[in-house]
Amino acid sequence: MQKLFLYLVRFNGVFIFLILEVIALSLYFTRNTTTEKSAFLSSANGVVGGLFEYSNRVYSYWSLASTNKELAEENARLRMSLPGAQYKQLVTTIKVQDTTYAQQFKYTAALIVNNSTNNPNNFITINRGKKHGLLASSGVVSGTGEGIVGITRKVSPHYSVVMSVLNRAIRVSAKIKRNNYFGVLTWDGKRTDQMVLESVPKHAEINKGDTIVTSGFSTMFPEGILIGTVDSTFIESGSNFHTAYINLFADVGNLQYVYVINDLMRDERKKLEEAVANE
Amino acid sequence: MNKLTLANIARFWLILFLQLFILKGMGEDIGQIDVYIYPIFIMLLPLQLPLASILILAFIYGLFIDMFYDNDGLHAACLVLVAFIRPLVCALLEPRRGYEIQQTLTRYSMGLRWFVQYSAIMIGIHTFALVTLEELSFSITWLLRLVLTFSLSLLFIILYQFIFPQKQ
Repeated sequence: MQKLFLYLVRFNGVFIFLILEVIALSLYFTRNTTTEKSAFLSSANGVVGGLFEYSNRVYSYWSLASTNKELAEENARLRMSLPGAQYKQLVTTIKVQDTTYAQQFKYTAALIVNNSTNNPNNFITINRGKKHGLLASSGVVSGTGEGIVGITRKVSPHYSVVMSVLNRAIRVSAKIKRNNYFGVLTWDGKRTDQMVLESVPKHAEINKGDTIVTSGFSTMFPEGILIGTVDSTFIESGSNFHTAYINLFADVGNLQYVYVINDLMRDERKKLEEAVANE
Repeated sequence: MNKLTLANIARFWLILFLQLFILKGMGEDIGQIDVYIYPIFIMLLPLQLPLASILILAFIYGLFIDMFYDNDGLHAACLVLVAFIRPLVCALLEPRRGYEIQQTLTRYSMGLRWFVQYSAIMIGIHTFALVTLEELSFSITWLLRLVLTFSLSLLFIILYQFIFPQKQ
């Protein structure tokens, strides 16, 4: 106790302490009044602002995963409002002023959790499944918006296995964007950045650099999704069809996010087409 | 410019960096809980330094922190208070054999038990002053913030002593 008292007596700092506290507290309690000091003593000044920006860049990595997820979901929402994803409900025989659209295609963002490109038949696993409304035989497109990725094969409650475009069993209906001639897109198992477009009629004009898009003839992809550009074409002797090599837009080797497309009117269309085929 | 001075200058920047670039971002990530380890700079200053210079150092250091937290003067006020209280706390916790003149008050030189007591009192005072000045009322939020900030800050300060052990 005596020592404590001695400390108190020996204080030459009391005066300085009081001055500093008064300065600090008056700064603090006047912080909302707009004076010139507030700009200097806050992150608005150049040095601190610059450091802030730098530190922000450093620890924005902490939330990168959730930011990515939010963006993917937002993109899916935006894609659903594109005209291509909607089904025109306007009936032409009756004059209706209302041009409401009904949702035809539903986009679901998914993260790739497993992927391969080195097998003859490649599959991709994504982290969305039945619980999120996914069905087998739905189209999967790249998260960056360009290029198709595959078709869902098996759907479990939380995961789906996608047959990659790099799979010899894949068949996608595609057409030349310029003149609408269509063919079937397959993979020959050779290059991971190319697919083969077959069954394009011989009389159709097809040139190097032509853009290939989905035809919309299957229920898997809506019409007009970009696939790739023509690399080279040839006609096999005796064949009536072109064969073209297509450079893909989507690089399946480095994908992270994809969108699964569900055609909400698929059942209706399938039933109708089957009914006709069985006649 | 002896070794001790240089060590303190290095610590000045190291703690500033840890506080502003790691703990500040972390506090924003886990919600409104702030973790403050910067008082450890004042806590670890050499004993023989005159009180007046410690106070002025604390004021400058607090203003630095304030610039980044956009709290004009708040941290400066709290840190000056902590610096002012430090001799009292040291006197209270004085071991039987007394302090050595050249001694720095680290876990290494004083033992873990002593250091935890010392940190608890210093951080307790600091957090109390800080949260009270920020809330300006004794509500549930005040209590919650007090408890959480105090315990997390104490934890990080003790961790700091393990991650960056100082022999002098």
